[in-house]
Amino acid sequence: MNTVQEGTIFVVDDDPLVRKALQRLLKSAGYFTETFPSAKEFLSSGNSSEGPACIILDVKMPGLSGFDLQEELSAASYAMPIIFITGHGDIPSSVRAMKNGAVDFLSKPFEDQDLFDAISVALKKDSITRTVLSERGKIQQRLDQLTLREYEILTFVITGVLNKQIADILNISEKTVKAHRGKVMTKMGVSSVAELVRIAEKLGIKPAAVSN
Amino acid sequence: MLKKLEITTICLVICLLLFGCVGSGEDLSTGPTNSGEWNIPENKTFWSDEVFRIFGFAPQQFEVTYESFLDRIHPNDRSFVEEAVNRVLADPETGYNIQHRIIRPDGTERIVHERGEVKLGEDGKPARMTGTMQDLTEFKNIEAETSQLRDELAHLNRLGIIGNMASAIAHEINQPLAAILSNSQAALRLLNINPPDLNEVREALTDIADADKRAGEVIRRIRTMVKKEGFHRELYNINTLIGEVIDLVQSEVVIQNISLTTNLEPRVPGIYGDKIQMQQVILNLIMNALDAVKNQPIDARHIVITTSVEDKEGLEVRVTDSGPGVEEDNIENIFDAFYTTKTQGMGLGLSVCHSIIENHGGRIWVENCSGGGAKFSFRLPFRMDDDL
Repeated sequence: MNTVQEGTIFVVDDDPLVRKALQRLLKSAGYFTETFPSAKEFLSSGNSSEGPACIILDVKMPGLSGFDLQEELSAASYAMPIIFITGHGDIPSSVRAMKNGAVDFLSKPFEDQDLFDAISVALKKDSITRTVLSERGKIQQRLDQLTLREYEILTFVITGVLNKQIADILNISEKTVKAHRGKVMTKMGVSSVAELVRIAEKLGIKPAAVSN
Repeated sequence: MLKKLEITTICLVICLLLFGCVGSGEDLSTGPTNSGEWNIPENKTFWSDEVFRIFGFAPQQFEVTYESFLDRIHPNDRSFVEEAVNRVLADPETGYNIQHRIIRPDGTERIVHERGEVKLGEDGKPARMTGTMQDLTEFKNIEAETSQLRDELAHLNRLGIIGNMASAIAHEINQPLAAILSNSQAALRLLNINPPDLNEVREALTDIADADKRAGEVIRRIRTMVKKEGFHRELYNINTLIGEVIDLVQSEVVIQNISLTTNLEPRVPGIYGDKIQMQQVILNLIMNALDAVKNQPIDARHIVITTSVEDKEGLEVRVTDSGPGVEEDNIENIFDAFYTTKTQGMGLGLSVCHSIIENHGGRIWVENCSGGGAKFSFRLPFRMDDDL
């Protein structure tokens, strides 16, 4: 028991009794928690964490409501997964929250196991999002190192045309094309055209238009 | 609240007077000014001047046929009227007694009530159809208004005096409940750790006690509100009050095909207490009875309201329904706050009734009838102590 779990849980609820109870419960299950009495204080805290994280969010709060906070967070490129908790538990609002990407919607009072299940889903989701984002970030960094000419060559290479054809189209020597191509492969950290194509797809790079 | 009730009562009186007049006009001969006759074989129709006026025309402005009559009927009601006419032509015994909308030349809509009968010719075929027409538009408007007021009142009553605070109260209770559950589950986990974190367990238990007290406080607040707010004493007759409440639910009763009858002791003594609160009790009980019988077969939807004088004990009011009755397990708790057997209910109606009757120095109980259905009864003392 009480093994330390990976992940940070942010609890946002205006009721101090509920906040304290949740913090105690999560701590007893080995989670690291941070609590906030309002959506505003959560926002101004910076709310970042190294590892995977999620938010346990009360729906009805004075000032910014839980839904308002969800909207605000989802506007950014990275949105932390949210588990809603509510004392009302009305169906229309739960549908709205789920449609907007909430992991779960729990009616107070809820069973600890239901909360832990939701947390486990939320953290998994966040961990995947973080991996994808960091991978994309790394590839983007590599792409940023390419010169304009190299980028242009890349868009041709991924269409599968031969060096000679590229040379003809760009009106440069085949040798120059080969040199650029080598640099592209090195800078992008790939050893095959197939790999390069996959990365380009991930980043949404459009292949050059080549007429046959 | 008082004002609204007064308006409701006034509207009801107006309505009853108006509808009373309409209802009594059963005989066709008393309304020569708004009558008509249709010569069926020749398809010629005579309308009195008043009927032309109802349709928005000058008296005798055009020659009326069955088709020109149908033309004036609201398109959505046309087939309904035709069906009614065909039905009475096929079987004159069935009679013709319908309400529908008509369109005047200026485009305005009127609601009319038509009654008619078919006379057979010597050949045994329909020869003439005579009837009357009444413009119900104004009555209908008042009816709609009354129904709206009734809905508002019923809504207020369904949720008790605390009205639309019900949802807020549910929230107020669920918050401490959530804290209690999470704290106790945390405490169990903390005890399983080796060595157990007893300090943290102690704090969890303290918080559980606090949360529990808070929940209790919410319930107490509801009771206090019922008890103290707006207790206005006046002298009233319980039979009259029951009649007023029945008027409020009458259209619901008609729509649901329910037979609601009364058996009232005419010599009831006056009651001195809060009339509006008592109205809420009776409306709540009748509403519950309506709910209980509405899923029964049409000929088995009965509600009976009885008043009687029980010697020294006081006055007794009973609302008996032919519904499924109350499950034995529920009889004990049915008057508790937030106890409900309905999917849509808050479990407040009967608990509010209970508080109100107690505040009047009386008692309320429920029992199942031997022949099925439930019987809610309450007794009120003739005299109330002043300090209540």
